Amino acid sequence: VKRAVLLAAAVAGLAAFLAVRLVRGFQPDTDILALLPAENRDPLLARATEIFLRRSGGSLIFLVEADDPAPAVDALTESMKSSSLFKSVWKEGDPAKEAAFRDFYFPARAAMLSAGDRDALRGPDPAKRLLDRVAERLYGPLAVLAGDKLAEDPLLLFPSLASTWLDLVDGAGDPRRALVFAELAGDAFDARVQDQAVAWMRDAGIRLAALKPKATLSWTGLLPFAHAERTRIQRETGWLSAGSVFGIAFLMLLVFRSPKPLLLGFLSVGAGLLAGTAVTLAALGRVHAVTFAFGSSLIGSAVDYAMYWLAHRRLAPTEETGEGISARIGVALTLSAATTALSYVALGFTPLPGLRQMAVFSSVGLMTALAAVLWWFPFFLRRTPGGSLSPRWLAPMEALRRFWSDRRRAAVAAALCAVLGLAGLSRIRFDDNPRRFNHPPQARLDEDARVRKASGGLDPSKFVFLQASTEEELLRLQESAQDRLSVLKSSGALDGFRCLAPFLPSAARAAENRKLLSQALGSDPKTVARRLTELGLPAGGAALQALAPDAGRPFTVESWLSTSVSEGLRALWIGGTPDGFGAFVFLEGVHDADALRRGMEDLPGARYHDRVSEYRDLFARYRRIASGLLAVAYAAIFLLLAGRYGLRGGMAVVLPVLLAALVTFGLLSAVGVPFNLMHVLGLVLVLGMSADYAIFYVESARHPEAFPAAGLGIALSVASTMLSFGLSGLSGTPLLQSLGMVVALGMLFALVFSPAPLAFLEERRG
Amino acid sequence: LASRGRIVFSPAKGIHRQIESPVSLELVITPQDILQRGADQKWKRIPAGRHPEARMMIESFLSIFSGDTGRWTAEFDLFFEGTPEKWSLGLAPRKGRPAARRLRRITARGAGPALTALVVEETSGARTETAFGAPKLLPAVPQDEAAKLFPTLAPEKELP
Repeated sequence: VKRAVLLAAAVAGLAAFLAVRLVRGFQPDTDILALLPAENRDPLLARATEIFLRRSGGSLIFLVEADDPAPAVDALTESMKSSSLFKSVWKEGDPAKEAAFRDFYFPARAAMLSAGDRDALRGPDPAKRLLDRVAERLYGPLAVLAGDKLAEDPLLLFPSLASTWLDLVDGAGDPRRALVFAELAGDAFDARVQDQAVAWMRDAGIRLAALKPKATLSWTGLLPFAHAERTRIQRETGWLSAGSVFGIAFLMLLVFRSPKPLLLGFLSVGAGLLAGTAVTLAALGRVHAVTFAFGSSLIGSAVDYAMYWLAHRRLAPTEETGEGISARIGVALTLSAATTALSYVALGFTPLPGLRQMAVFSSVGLMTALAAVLWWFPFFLRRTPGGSLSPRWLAPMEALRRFWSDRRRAAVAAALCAVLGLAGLSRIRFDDNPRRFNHPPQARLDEDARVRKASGGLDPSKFVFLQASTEEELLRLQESAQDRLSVLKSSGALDGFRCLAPFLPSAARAAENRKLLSQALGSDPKTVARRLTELGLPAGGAALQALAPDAGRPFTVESWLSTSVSEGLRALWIGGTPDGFGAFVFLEGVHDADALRRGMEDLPGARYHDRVSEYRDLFARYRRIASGLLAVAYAAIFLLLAGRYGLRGGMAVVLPVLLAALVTFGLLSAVGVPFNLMHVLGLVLVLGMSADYAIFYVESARHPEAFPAAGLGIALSVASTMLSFGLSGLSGTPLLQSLGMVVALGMLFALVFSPAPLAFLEERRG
Repeated sequence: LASRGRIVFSPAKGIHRQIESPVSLELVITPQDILQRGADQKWKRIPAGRHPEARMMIESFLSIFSGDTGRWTAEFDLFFEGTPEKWSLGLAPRKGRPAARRLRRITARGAGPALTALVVEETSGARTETAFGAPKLLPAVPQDEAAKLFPTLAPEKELP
């Protein structure tokens, strides 16, 4: 009673803590990235990725496709500007945006120079080559872009620069497509912001259809992906929990014929879930929605203890007290909880934060559930519920036990299963592609691809990261990377790239450009003036003198960041952090990753990254670590069991879980399922949950009359685990699906092999 | 700014414009391509596809020369005055259309079947007048001449 009261007080305390957190607005994480490991090899890149996600997280791109998209775009931007959802909105070729660019960059034109003008000035006869370019522009079809500042900019430096940006910023220029860009006012991961934005988008689509029936509106950005992920997780958590709760309730009512055991079962599981959530939150500061989904699977594991206790109660003589039952099976239950906890602790050693959460959540939840069973159940269930149980219920498990009781038959069967398992394992395949962990709905991916293609086709998973120790060094590195990437682009290694070099010149490049210009124009000023006059341009010195060498950068990075010209670009600039200065260069259509890697290798501070292949390597590494930890967990459990049953006994008790793992992986390999980290972790769970069964049988061997109760408890446990994990095997979240598949199969085989140790232990007992 | 040169329009091929002074510059506009040859004597493709306004201007010219009224009516409001002997056709971009951002009006003047002048007025106030002196009407551009005037270019050569 004392222990029961202590436990009740502890659970009440944790419930109060959780209530306070809920009142303060606690929401579980739904960002799938929160489950992935933080970049631990490069602190600046880790910080840069975080800053990039924060800055670009609010960016949205909308694509309107119609025969004449202009009216639809106008209506869309008007509606966006009047909505409080968006902080800023601009459209492709927005006159206000163009004016902002002109105002900001026109004074800096001589310091920036387009690549074409720079090439002309660096070659032989620079003045003639520059003026030839001016003539071609002025009298060519692009004269319309010359603008209205001919008197101030007779060398057309600004329009030349602006046309470089057009190539960089604009899409393919298809007149039937128009892009609108927006920055969210709120956080893309905020569930309310997501719901509002998705509802707004749906209304915008309806309004557009009314305006132009054949027009389509698509969008992309972090928000639509985060929303798709969150709604899927929420939906699945809902039906997974409901499915396992109803399934288990039905099972218990069927066997125990009384609602009391069912309520007690839920009481112990509820206490476990509550303690798991509260302690995870207190220890790690956050709980992910996937951890909750996983928690619904914990029901299957925690309910084992309740089932086992209740099975003993069900078959025990009526005069035996609840305390007596707890004392009788307490060792078996504690030993089994210890083995389960050992395997969950193994999860905690993987570097994935999501799994650390699950490890804490599960270990604490299971221990609490066990304590609730041992200390609360005797208090509530003094007498056997229901009437006598029909022997039909016990027959299948008794038949299974009898099958394994013949040592020779058991040895042959075990050897045969091991051989079949190994044969299957010979076809083992691994696939560590991170997309297997996070696979958004196909419709969302298609929409994203359509919008990205229209907006320049940048692939956010492939980029060059630049790092330097000062801002000026970083600006110069951007310029060197731009030169290098331009060469790689013309050799076909990639289709394009977006970097800030054309928008943010270094002081060195600015000074060099001014010098090139003044040298070219100053070498033969009379010829230059004559040629300008011939072209019909003002040859007066004022316009050219304005370009005279001037020290320093034409503007600071801070001033650039604070104006609207950096909208849509500023996420590339990470700037200064305690780990150094960083910037991203995003790539389009990478055809030759090796050439890119080599091209960046001898540029100090620049490095090509392919996130998909990096995560693939990372997950492969974690899969190997988890496999090692699984071996350690097996060894630890074996040592624990050997301490109680001796060396041979320990081996016999570990045999069912070893065989279950072997046959499960063998079967899945034979049917061609490629393994990843999640499958290995599923095996960790199988080990933790099913090591119990052999213990229950072996402990019952001391009181053979308890065999039917052990069989019933194990069968109910497996059935409940199958109900929860079997359901998550049907989940659309690949993470849960892989886990569920392994656990469902593994538990089924563990059940089949669970009486096997009895055959091998008899000798010791004899 | 004033320039002088020669324009050849072939309904089958497109427009070839040769500026002779103050610069030597050739421009070829076909429905598929816009090519330019300057002082370096090399043909280069102009990436007008990525400059919506330049493309709009070029397409407008092509449609005026070819008499593609379908395109005019989608982009422009039309004004016509005069007689078949001496006429003037005005094209003002429709409100909200891309052309309206840079262009105020294009006026084509002609005598009989020949185009005599083309005036382009931009929203910035810039005005470009092209006068066609002594237009010649031929049944077709001779084949050898057409091959010289309308070259084809490998896809990758673009004006930087």
